[in-house]
Amino acid sequence: MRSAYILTAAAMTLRELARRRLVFMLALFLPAAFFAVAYATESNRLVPVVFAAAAERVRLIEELDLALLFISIVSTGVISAFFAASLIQRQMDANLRLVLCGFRAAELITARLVVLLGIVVACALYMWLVLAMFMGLELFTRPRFPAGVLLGIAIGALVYGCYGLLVGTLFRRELEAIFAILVLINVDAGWLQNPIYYQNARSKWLIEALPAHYPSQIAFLSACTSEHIGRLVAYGLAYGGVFLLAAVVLYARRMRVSR
Amino acid sequence: MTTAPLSVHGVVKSYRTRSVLRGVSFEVRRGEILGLVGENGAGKTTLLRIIVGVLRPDAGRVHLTGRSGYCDQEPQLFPDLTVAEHFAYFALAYGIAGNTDWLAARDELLAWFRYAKDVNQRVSELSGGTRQKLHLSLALLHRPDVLILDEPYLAFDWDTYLRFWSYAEAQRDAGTAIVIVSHIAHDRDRFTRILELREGRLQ
Repeated sequence: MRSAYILTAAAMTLRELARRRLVFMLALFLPAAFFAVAYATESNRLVPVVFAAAAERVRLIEELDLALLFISIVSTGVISAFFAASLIQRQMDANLRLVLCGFRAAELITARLVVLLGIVVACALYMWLVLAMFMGLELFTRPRFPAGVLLGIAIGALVYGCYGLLVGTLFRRELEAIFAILVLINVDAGWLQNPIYYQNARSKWLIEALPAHYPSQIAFLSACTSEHIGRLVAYGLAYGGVFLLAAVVLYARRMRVSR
Repeated sequence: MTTAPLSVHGVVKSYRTRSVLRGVSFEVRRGEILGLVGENGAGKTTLLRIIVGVLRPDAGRVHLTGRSGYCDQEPQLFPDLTVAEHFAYFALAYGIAGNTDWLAARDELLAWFRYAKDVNQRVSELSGGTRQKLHLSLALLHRPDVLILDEPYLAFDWDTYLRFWSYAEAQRDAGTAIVIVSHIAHDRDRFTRILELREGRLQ
């Protein structure tokens, strides 16, 4: 692969994204609005929960903290998945033309991956700062590892970003992609990964097999316990890697031309 | 014997049960403008897409030598990039960004098709005709040896249409092999040869 081609394609993709200002404004505003609603509505009562990755103990966690952690993971997942799907779906024909003219499909998808990584990092940092604003100093004093919370949010964004890349290559049209992203994130990150549901679930293996499992466990354990998260980080990255590999293979097939 | 820069041998293509091309063979020589005509759905666009490599034939083969330029029916552009950015992006794709010759080619195309004033406009802000000009210009930027054009002037005004033909004829005289899909009756006088696709075969 040629680095000049990857950098130029990444720069052009970034320019395209940067010129869609409304999308960025919504990506900044909507999660903050959800945080505000949760902050105004959730109580501070303590609820007993069991974390999947540290299932031997029942812990008492504030309902509001749980809600805010959830919103941060769901929001970063949704935003990065939509950005990723859009990066692939938009102007597929124009990108195919670039391949016909001399670009390699691998260079184009690598450029999108570079842009996606930038979005993941920016999105996770932003959400972590908003989370810190709403949780106040508690995020930095009560949890054992605040950087782990950031890592959990970032890995959630990465896993769902790679899922978005896969969805973007699978479906040519936006509506199908929106359904595929929203349904999974809503059921997975927004519902099944909640420790309140998890502790009495009948098929825990199924919940543990879903994309948001490792990121949410990293964030929860870092926020509320002193458990080690190294194994979870490795599994989370591997999960994202599987989505990424499938997306690259499918993208290369769609961009295949006879020379 | 001179080798034709484009030759097509026994190309067959079907979409599920519908047979579109049934053994199409022809060649295009240097300095020739070949007109490809036929009714809607006759398989002209499918044939061009097979020639440039977007589609694979079920059988047969295509031999294309030298640099090729392809302009599809629909403008394939990036709406949020400017005209100048498109030229730079495609110059890199063609592998000609390393020297400054492509800048002269760009300026020549902008002047010839009279849209130099739009060079810093985003594609989403351009008129349909100007998008078509950019779409065509990107196929011409690297001075191809073989030009494959699928109704490239549908959105052009009359003056631009005439300028397109002046440009095409100059390229032909310089030795470029050109294939143009056309529906316009008075184009016929401009072609060196005309092939008609009917029921998947060339007439």
